[in-house]
Amino acid sequence: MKVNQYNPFERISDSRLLVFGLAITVLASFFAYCVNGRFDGILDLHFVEEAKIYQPFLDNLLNIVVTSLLLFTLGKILNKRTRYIDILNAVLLSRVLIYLLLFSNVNSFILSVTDNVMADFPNVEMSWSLIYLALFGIISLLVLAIYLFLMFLGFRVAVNSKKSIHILYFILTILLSEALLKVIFYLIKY
Amino acid sequence: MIKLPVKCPSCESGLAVVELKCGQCETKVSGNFPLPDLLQLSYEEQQFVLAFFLASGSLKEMAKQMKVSYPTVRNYLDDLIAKIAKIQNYEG
Repeated sequence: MKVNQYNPFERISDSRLLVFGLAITVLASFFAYCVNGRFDGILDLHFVEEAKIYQPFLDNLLNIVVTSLLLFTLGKILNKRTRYIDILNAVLLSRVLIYLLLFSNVNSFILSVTDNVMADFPNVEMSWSLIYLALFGIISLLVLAIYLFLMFLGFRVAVNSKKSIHILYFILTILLSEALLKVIFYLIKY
Repeated sequence: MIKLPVKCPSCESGLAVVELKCGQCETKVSGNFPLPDLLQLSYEEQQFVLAFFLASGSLKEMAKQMKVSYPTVRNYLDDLIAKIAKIQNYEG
């Protein structure tokens, strides 16, 4: 049996992944509160002036539940043996990448950089703030790509996916999840 | 350990048994006996099926023994089931 040593979803037991995933979600939610981070969508991280302690926890709960349920539905359609725990682990673990971006706002760094750039808008000139913001944008895009790739790795193992069309189904489901979450966040402002 | 070849090294078609021999009196039986379905799997796949049988069909136990995740073992078993089904359809 060929096992990809670099794919945690192939090697590590579901219970260990679940415990680690839940623990990191709780820790990251608290850290998000400390740096005023909000996850208002499965692909989103925004920094606000002052986050309330329950907001990042509720953000993560909604993101994880909605996305895992949609991916589980897709998984069941593709392979009836798909288990919810494997999909949940894929969503929980992959979000570690998004949580890493929280470090960018320690001491309100990225928020102040954004404010500096926006203060000069629309006559923005080359400055360190602009360079930091551009770098943050590039790093965020890279992290987003790796985040989705890691989630797909977990989804592929959970569903035993081998067809390339499944990548398209996965992307469409993520976009559907993002749209649905945007509506939910809009309706239940908290 | 000598592995039973199940595929022709030249054209990749399935092999058949044409001669059997008694180890005691050296009597030989000739014919054209197709290999049983399970023997048409590779050596590694046969070892997996044997391990599955010895683990009383517990995939969780197998995952623990093989130090891999449960879906990895289940996916491999699903692939083997599909392979056996293909062999049976081909024979049928």
